[in-house]
Amino acid sequence: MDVVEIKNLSIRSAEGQLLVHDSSFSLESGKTHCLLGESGSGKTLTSKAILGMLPADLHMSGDILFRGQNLNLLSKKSWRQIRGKHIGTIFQHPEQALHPSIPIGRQFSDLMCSHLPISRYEAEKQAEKMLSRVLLKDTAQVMKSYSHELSGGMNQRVMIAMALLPKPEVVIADEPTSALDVTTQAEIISLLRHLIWDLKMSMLFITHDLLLSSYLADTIGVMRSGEIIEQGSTERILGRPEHEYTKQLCRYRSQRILSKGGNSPNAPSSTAL
Amino acid sequence: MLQVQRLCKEINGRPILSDINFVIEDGGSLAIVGESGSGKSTLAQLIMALKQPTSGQVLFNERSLPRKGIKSYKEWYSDIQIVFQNTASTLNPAMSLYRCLEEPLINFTNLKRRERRDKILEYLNKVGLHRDLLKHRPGKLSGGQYQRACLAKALIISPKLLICDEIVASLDIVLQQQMIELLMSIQKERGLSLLFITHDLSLVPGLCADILVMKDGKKVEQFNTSALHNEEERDIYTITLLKSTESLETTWKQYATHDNKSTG
Amino acid sequence: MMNIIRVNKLSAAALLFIAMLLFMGLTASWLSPYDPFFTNLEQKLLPPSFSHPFGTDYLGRDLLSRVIHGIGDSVFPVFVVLSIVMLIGLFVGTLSAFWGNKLDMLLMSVTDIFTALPSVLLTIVVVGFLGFGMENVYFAVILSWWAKYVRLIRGLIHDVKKEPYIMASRVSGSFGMRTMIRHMIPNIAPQIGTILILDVSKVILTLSGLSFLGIGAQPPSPEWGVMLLDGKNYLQVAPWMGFFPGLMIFLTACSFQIVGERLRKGK
Repeated sequence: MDVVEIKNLSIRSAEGQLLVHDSSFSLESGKTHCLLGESGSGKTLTSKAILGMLPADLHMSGDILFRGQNLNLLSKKSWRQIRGKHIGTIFQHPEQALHPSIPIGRQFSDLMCSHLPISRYEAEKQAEKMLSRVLLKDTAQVMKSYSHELSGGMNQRVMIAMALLPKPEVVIADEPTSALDVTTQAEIISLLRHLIWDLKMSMLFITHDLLLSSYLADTIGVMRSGEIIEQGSTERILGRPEHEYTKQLCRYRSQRILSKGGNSPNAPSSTAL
Repeated sequence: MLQVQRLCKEINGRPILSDINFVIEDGGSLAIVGESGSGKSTLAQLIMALKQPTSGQVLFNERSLPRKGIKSYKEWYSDIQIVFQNTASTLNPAMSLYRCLEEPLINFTNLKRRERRDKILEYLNKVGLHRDLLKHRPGKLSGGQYQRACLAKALIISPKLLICDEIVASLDIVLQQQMIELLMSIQKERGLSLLFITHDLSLVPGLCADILVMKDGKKVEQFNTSALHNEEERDIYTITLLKSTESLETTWKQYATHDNKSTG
Repeated sequence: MMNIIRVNKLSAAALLFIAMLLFMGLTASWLSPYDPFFTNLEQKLLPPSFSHPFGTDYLGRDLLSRVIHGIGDSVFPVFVVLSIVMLIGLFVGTLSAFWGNKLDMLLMSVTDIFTALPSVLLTIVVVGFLGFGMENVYFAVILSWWAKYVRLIRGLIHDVKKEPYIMASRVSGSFGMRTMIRHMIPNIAPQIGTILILDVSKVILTLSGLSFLGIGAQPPSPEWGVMLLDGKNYLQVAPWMGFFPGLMIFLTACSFQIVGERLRKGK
């Protein structure tokens, strides 16, 4: 069954420029769909549209269905309720999304208490359990700290814990690792994969990196200048890309495979300039 | 030949770089790989004499770092040029691209207006930019175009050594690869020495002959690129770096093998 | 400039007014119908009419001609004053921001003193020492304004100094003055320009205000502040004597303010 379904989504700027053009895709329950595209391809706008967080000067048309319910027809308030309870979000810059002057633990309990009828003590206990699930050591200490006291990787783990704690059906992750170091990125990505799997959630993962999408996604949609130019299963997109742009992406990416037995990296390709 | 000897840098008593040694032969290439906070960008700025080292020295063809006098700085920069990361706007936003590229020619050469023009067009062509862009301000260029323009500006006075500090970090993969290929062809054509600074190990093979891994301001190890996968010899940190990328490649290798066959 | 016109009718009107003002100021001797200093007591205190559109004053001088000639005395000196202030600011501000910590501290202390003093008070004290007259007023205004520009330009240069392209320009062989002229000034010029235009109206008001107080331009000069002062004494008999110079001061100050605001918000 499809948890989220996007039908003919178009987004226009105030000047009438088409930013996202007629895109449709669906997110199956328990699966991960990846929106792949370079900067300015409209992938982030699409995710913001699903969250109902588009800037006010943009015009949106099309349908966004969440479990068959058209979010577009809902009031801002009920949309926000659905967003808080059923859709979790992970942003690129957790240090911007987390409150700088409230301790992490307090932010957790605030969030929990606003959605669930539980006590603050109960909420903090659950939060601490979740923090240990995202492989943070010394969770009691983390609960007391402020976000600026934590490293980028730790902040992103906190963010993930916060997004997954209300047990949402869908998680939207917008470039969660592009600001992180290579080693941290690998840890976070594999953590995310395991958690999503364990908790049987669906995820919409937004990235510019074909490698990450190959690792995480069941299905991939390739976006370019506001349009989904190709979508299908990961196996199909990687193995038999049809669109010229996807082919190019695959070719360039495979030149950068490091592991032994991969392509010889940076071998001069026939497409050099 | 660039020699970096026992180079140390402290800022407010905190060591940023400690005891860095390496040599780049004429025409040689070295990649410096490290994560954020490893001090790799500080190293680039020390070699470019944009910061003064706390101790140690940098020699280029037996000449040491300039400290005083415009003349010695100019001599240093006519041999060594740098391209910075493109998130930093390193082209003057108030000048047209033409005037940006003309800048080093005016400062380092005695070329006449006409010769300068020809040279700019030659290098623009070399980095694959269209001449219509010359009249625009740098703000109008896309990320890839911007980095090409910076590369042209660095190469236009024919330096002997080029330092690249994370020059593709914020570009998309297609642009990254095109930039790397461009760099390789220029390096081959010129016999240019190259110091390539990056956090991404996968950019290095094919581009640089040697790799120096840095962590927390210290040199972890230096080795030949062909020995990257030799796990008995490699330091544990290098292996962690390598494995981080490789762990994400498992699915890729499973599916994308068709791709290699079909597209050659 | 073309953008401003398209954006807003009000600022277009303001710009047009300024252009006309400058043109009329430059061609005052051809444009004005009468000699602004010619007195004719038979025609004194005439209300606006066809032959005298703005009327005449208590000595029978044509007000329109005096207002037009007044542009040269009321508006043009403002540009001179501001240019001098800006040049001082550019020179001292650069010196302060670019070279030397001790010099910087000293200069900043001096500017602190000047910015702390109320400018009108400072001007009156200086004119009191040097005696009445327009030249002394210009000097006094420059004295009370230069510190603001030094601090402004020093701040702007400090900001622009941190920009990566300044570091990069060093690698491309630009040092010292060359960096200053080619890389820094073009990048701070728009901000300075905007503030200059905004300050034009303030200086116009200051200068004519001082003339109105009687310590600036002296009669029979057609400076607008002086004319306003003359008009004050005949407010009940001949209100046009004060009305037209006052209107001109008002419109000019407004126009520069509008254009300046537009420039600041635009872009």
